[in-house]
Formats: sequence, structure tokens, C-alpha cells
Amino acid sequence: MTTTWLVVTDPLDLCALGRLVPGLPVDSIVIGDRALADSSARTGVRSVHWIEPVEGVPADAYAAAAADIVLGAAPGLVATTATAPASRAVVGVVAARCRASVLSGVTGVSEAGDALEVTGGAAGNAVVATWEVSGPLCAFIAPADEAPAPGVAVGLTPHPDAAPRPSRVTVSAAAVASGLADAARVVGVGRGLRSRADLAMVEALAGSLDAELACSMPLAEDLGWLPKDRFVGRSGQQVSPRLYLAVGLSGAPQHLQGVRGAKVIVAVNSDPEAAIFRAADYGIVGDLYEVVPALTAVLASD
Amino acid sequence: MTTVVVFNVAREPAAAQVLADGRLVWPARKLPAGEDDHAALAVAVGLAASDLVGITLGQGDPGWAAARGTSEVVRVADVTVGDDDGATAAALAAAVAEVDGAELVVIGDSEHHPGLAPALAGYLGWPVVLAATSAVRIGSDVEATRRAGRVEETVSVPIPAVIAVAAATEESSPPGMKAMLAARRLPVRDVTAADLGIAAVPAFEPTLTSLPSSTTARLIGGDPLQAATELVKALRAEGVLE
Amino acid sequence: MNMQFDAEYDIVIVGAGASGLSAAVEAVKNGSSVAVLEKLDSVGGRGQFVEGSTAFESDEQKKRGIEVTRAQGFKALMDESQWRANAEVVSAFVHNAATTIRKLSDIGAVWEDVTIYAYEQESELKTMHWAEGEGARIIELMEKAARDGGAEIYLNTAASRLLTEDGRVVGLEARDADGQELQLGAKAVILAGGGYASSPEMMEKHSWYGKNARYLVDLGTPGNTGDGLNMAVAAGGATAETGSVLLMPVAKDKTITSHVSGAGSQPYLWVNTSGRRFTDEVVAMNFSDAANVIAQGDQGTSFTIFDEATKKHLETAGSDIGLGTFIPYHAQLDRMDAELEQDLVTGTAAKADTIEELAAAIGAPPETLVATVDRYNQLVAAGADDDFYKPAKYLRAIERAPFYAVRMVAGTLVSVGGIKVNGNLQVIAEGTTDPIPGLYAVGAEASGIYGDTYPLTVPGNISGFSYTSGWLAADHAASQIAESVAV
Repeated sequence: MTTTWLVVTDPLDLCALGRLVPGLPVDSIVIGDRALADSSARTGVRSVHWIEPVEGVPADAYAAAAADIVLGAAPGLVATTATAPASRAVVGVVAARCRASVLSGVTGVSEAGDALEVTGGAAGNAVVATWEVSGPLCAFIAPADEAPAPGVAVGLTPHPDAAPRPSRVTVSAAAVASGLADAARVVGVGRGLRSRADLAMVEALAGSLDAELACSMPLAEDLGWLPKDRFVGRSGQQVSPRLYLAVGLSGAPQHLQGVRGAKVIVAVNSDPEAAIFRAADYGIVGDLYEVVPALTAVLASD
Repeated sequence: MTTVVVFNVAREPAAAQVLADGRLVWPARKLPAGEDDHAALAVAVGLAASDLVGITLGQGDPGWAAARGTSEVVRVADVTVGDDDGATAAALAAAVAEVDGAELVVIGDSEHHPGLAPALAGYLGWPVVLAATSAVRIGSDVEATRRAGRVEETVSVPIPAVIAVAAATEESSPPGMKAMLAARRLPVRDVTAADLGIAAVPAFEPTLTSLPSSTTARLIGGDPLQAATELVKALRAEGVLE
Repeated sequence: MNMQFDAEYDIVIVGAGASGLSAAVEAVKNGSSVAVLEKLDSVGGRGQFVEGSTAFESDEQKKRGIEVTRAQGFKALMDESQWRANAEVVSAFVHNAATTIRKLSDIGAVWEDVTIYAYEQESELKTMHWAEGEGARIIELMEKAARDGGAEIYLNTAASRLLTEDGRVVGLEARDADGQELQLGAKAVILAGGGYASSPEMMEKHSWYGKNARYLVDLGTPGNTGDGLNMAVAAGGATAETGSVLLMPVAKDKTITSHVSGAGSQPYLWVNTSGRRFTDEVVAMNFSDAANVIAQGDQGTSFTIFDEATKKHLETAGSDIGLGTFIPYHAQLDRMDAELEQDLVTGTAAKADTIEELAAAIGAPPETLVATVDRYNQLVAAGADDDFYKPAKYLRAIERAPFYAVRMVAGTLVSVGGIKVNGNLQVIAEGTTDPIPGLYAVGAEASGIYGDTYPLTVPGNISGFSYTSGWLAADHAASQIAESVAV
């Protein structure tokens, strides 16, 4: 009889649970502070094995120690999300030690006879794929929208003797990215904006996202509302942020050329047929004059 | 005292072709370089005390790395990249073992292969620093920096180690055509899975693929505040807010 | 062979735009080894700005019950050129354009519509195939297909000189991204540089606008400096109909999606720098012809004059003519006020309470402009344009202050004439009827389907020709290479 494990080093890892077979007993291994262990204990897992890192030692350094705990229980499925490096590091050790298959983008795992049937997105979610895995499986789960509702807590099993590998971590303030080209987040605004004065509203959103402000060509060239070096597109700036939030932008091909490098594109547009929605990963169909202040408010309250 | 850089082992979605019936077709002969490979190579060149050996698989382009600073490339000719990062890592680890004096492995940390670098480290039995953006050698340690939310972490680990590098931007100035053509004449050592003592299993692929129900954006409805709340939650899960 | 090459290929393609990438996709499919040299830092060139593409008797037309025969297409292109076009090239294009649509479908293009360009323009043939994502998407698909097939695409790499041996082209010289010179061997070179519209000197020298070319505004990418034309001529190639350029009216310093520019492109009262009316403004319906008219004027400039009532009409009822997807037909031009804030300062537009003041603002003699407007208002009142015969529906009075003037110029989309080719897209040697072995010119680099101007009545023809000529050249080159191997 094999066991199913959840590796938790970040709160988001708990959202992997929603993708696993309901009712399946899951053991968890947590590397982190008491709060993380406690919230894991209330998710309905069967056990919480808890390693608390020593000050100045990264959670990653306990990967082998955590893997030892998991490997001691004949794991058949080890799940986590691809969020935190430490969770990935644990999975790497487990996978190598039991020669497990390692799949990512997983949205569901079920038993099919002796094997596991795994579903998920392949090629960046371009297709829905089904894999069959016969041996043990390490799965990076695409996090479900919701963390499991908090329930009755199980007791923690601390592992105070878990030994880290030699490693040190120091934390410093991150250098602030300067300029559009290197920005991690960019808010782009288009002709959905009715007046120059309304730019302030979009600037407020950009501020709450730590994002740079950009625009479509007409806003800079025809309207002059933003400097010409702020327009993104084929003949303007090329940006490759983690997040591109397009506000009131129709998504003309020339504009989209400039955001090809963006990891996640979000569109806010009142026209459901706007081309930007074809390029976007997420969209809100709605009046930007309502959605933008709402987004700013939600981000501020976080 | 050899630094190894692993390259051209990520299948980026942009390389895939999705057919109308939902089948997924990957390039048969050559994979384009992974999005993080150029950054990994730049870090590796900086770390290499002496030789920098490139390692790639059957669809890798040795000239790509040679033009960027490797002195030799080992290619596992009969192993190709599949969806199982564990299988890919096992082959790469066997190839690293073939390189005399290998003590530091640098690899691109592709977001589409989150298990590859950690499993490679697992097979080698070495510590790993994931999502690194830069790294320097300090005595017998390597010190790597990475972004963690709104702070920057500096993680030091003893050598031997694996450093997985995530590219922050696209490559700013790729080598010119002349350098790339000249690099093709540099040595490539082709080995097979049998040479490495591992099984030459075919790349792990899905048994079935289909088109997602919607290829357009995931649309979020409801009143503005509700939609905004849901969107922020989704973006947090994507890890793009910090 | 005594030349030392850095590398040898079956085919080297100069330019990674619409025609060059089409050639590359076909060439790798044929099994040719291919290098594409692109002198800019990204692919696409002016192919990025393509809206739709011409074809005749395509699957997409048939599916939609549209019948435009190849014979009709051939005749239209020949007639439009006053038979200055090269019938052999026109025939090759007309014959193969439908295959192009299928080839693009094969690599993932989705055709959303087949239509005409300007509504109410009855002479247009329904040849315009609109792809999802337009030309920019086609470029992406072609780049991917070419790379997947093994084509090597080198950016920031400019070809500079063709290498010949015993009268045939055997390769070329180029300068790469690092500034290194290199020599490449090629069994065939395909020139696909997209013409010379980025070079003001070549525009003045070659285009039929002559000295007025200096007033043209280039709307395209910066790389189209006529390198192919210059290299072909230096290697003994002939030219033909080099003067043909595709223009489009645009308000000074504005983009083609600007609402002020859209207003200026309407068939209202157009005056020259002297304040005189000079044409039937209905020419606006054909943007290519309209821009030819503007380009020939004093300083290549005209002013579109309208009053507050017409401005309101544009804001609410919408435009009377469209400019493709840039200014859709009947688009409500409701951003004019927002744009005018800037445009009244820069001189792109003028606004005044009297015609005299408007004249002063645009630098025209007030008495002339007053007389012009009076005369125009008489024609409006009479409901018939006795001067230039504009249809009555476009006669709108200029009565209600404030009055507006938009400064219009002609923008260059692409030059469409240059190197003389035959039906195989082989470059013809100067003073002969023979091709230069191993040398091809395609797309906007090649002459053949035009006379001295671009015909909008067969909409989508330059992109259709670019894609089609690209793969035709690759096929012919492959057949020549196969023959030489067989010998």
C-alpha cells in the first residue's frame, strides 16, 4: 500500500489538495513556520510532519531531510505546486531516490488499475493532456482556486532533529526594476480611456501593483497623453513582464507584437469581442471605470 | 574543477504546434533554445574557473552553446525531452557523471519544467539553488541570488551544487551570424544512453491530448468588486503579483 | 570554386518579411537548406501591417460563394496597370494565389472573411482574404513554420553585395550583428527586402513623385532601404516600373488610426496650400489614389475643411468612408476633441470661428479660402458639384462655426516596383531577356504586377503577391538546384 503526500513550503501549496481525489488520505510534510504547519493541519490531511528551519537556513536546505520522511512511507504520489523553490527541491530529491515520474501542470490524478491516470495542461495549457504513469509519481499541481476550507486540526508531528544541508540565506530589499523594458508588471492602457484626467485612475492601479504604466500607440502618438517612449507595440517598446494588464485596449496586432514576451496577460475591456481577449489568459468584460477602481481597492486591502 | 551547463532541454510552449484535432506536435529535429538558457549560459560562463562543458540531449543545438562560451559539448544523442522531468533529469545526471571533474552544474530553470533542475540535483545528490538570477563563486561555495516576493535572497551552498537560473529578460545581444557559424566547427561529443549505462526510453508523452474547451481568456464575471477579487486571487496563484 | 565561404546553403533569402518568410517556409519544405538574413532586430518588416491578401478562386472564396475568376483577376491587374504590368508575372500570381491561401491555412492561418476593402466602391473585386490576427499573425505562423523546418534566421544581419561567378550568383556578402563581415555560398539568392520606401534618397530618385517625395511620411519599418534593388543592379540586373509606391493619406504627425486623421480622410472639402479646391474628393474612397492626389500637391499637403455640424456627424453617425480596420466604415470618430488638444498646438489641425481666421491658421490667403468655401456652399445648395462632379451625398455645407482644417499628407506604406523579373521570379539581366542564374526577387522588391500605381480595386494584392512570389521562387530555385545536381 503506497501513501500520498503533499509537500508544503508555501501557503499556495495547500491549493494542490483540491485537485486530488476527494477522500484520499494525504500525509503532509511542511517546511516552514508554525503558522504554515497549523494551517496545513486544518486542511483535512491525515498527518502533518513539520520541519521548522533554523534562522538563516533556507527551507531548501531541508529538502533531503524532508525527502527521507516521505521516502520512509513508500510514497505512490507526491504532490505540491511549482510555487516555492523549497517544495520543488523536496520533490527533486524524492523523485530521484524512488525514480518517480515528474509531471507538471497537473489538474487531476486518479487511479486506473495499477497505474495512475493524470490529467493536466501540456505545452503551456495549449492542450489538455492525459498521461498514464505506472510507477511512483511526483506531480506539480496547478493550484485550485480555493485553499481547502479550514476544518478540524490534526496534531503536528515535529521533526526537530531534521538536519539541514550546509546552506545560508540572507535577505535584502530587491532592487527596484527601472523602466518599461525590465518591469515585472506593466499596466497598459488604450483608447477605452475617455480623457487624459482619467489617467490618474490607471496610475493608481499601476501604483498598487508596483507596475510600470504603458499605453497603445494612439494614446502616445495621436493623443499625447503619455510620452512616446511609453507606447508598447511593433514600432514602440517591447516588454516582457510577468504580468501585463491591458486596460481598455482593443488588442490590435501591432500592439500585441510588443507584449509577446509577457507571461500572463490580463484584459479589462467592455467589448467581449475585443481581440485582446484572444491573447489574454484572464479577462474581465466590464467598464474599466468600474473595474479599475475595484482592482485598486482589492489590491490595497490585501 | 569543471563547470557544466545544461542547455536546450526545455520544451517551450511556443515550439509546439497544436493541430485542429487537439494533437500536439513538437519539433522533431531541433528544439529552439529554452527561454532561460541564455541566462544560464551567462551565469555559467561567469562561474567557470576553467573549462565550461555543455550538455544537451538529442534535439539540442551544440553550436548554440558553443557560440556563447562552451569549450566542449556532450550530447546524449538518443534521448529526447518529454513531459517527465524525472526521466530527463536521470539522463542528464548520467551525462554529468561522464564529465571529468564536474562540480558545478548550471541549468535554465524553465517554468514549463519545474521538476527538471531539482530532480537533476536529486540524481546527483547535490544541493540546488532554484530560480537564481545570478551566482558567484566564493571559496568552496557558490552564492546565488534570487527574487522571493518583494525581497531578494542570497543563498550560499557548498560546491558541488546545481544552480538553476531563471531569465529575467530576453537575451539582449545574441552572438552574430559569423560567430554562430564558427561555433559549429567546435567539438561535439555524441554519446548514447547505452554509453551512459541508462535505458534509452522514448520521451514520455501523453496518451491523449485534446483542445481545451476554450482557447480564449478565462473570463471572470460578476460585479466589478467580486470580479476584481477573483482576478487578484487568480493572479496571486499564478505568482505574478510579487 | 575558389571562394572561401563562412557557410554554404542551398538558398539564402535576404529579408524576413512577408515574401522572404514565405520563401523560407516553402524552401525548407522542399528540403533546401536555408538561411534568412534580416537586417532589423525582428522579423516581419512591412508584412506586420498587412490587413488582407488577394487570391482568386480560393477555397475560402468558394466556401463563401464568391466567384472571382483568375481571368477576371488577370484582366483587372493588366487594365489597372494600363498594360505596363508584366503579363507573365501577373499570370504566375493570379494562377497561384489560391494555393497560397491553402498553404497558409496548412500552417495555421484562419480566414475570417473574404471581402472588398472600401464599401460602396463598386469596381472592387472580392479578393481580400482577412486572416485572424491579420498579417502580423501570418508572419508569426510563417516564422514558426520556417524555423521548425530548419531555416536559420539571422537578425541584425544585412546583406551588402552579391557574389557572382561566370555570370551566375553564387552567394553574397553580409555584415552580422557583431559587425563582422561574412561570405555565404548559395545556389540561389532570393531578394526579399521589401523595397526602398525607408530611403528618402531612393524615394526621390525612383518614385514618380520626384522632388515631392521629400514630403512623404514613411509609415512602415525602417529597414526597407532598397538593398535588394541596389544589389541586383550592381550584379547586372534590370529594373522595371521602379516608381510605383503604395501611399495612404494621413494627418501630419498622426497615426492611421487617429480620429483626426480619419476625419481628414473623408470626402469633404479639400483645399491646397493656396486655399483652392483641386479635386473630386470622392477619390478618398480609394486611399491609394487619394494619397497620390495629395502627394502631388504643393508641399505634398492638402487641408480637409469642415464645420461643426460635420464634426458632430463624424462623432455620432460616423465616418462616411472607411480605411480598413484602421478607421472602420461608419466608425464614430469621437476622440477628435481629445486629439485636437494636441493637434491644434502642433499645427496638425486648425480651428477658428471664421473662415478668414481658419485661412490664417493654415497659412492660406483668407480671400481665396473664403471664395472657395462660398463656391463650395453654392454647389452644396444646388445639390450638384459642377466643378469636380462629386456625388451629392458627400456635399456637406460649411456654415456652422467653429470651422476645422486638418493638415493631410501622404504616408508611404511600401514601394512596389523595382527589380525586373520573369514569371519564375528570376531577375532579368540588364539589356537581355535572360535571367541571371541563381538570382530571384520577390514581394515588394520585384516589379511585375503594377504599372505606376497601386490598384486598390484588387484589394490585398501586395501581400498576396509577396506570399505567392516567395514560395514560387523557392520552388523554382529548388528545381534548378535539383537539375544542376542531376547534370
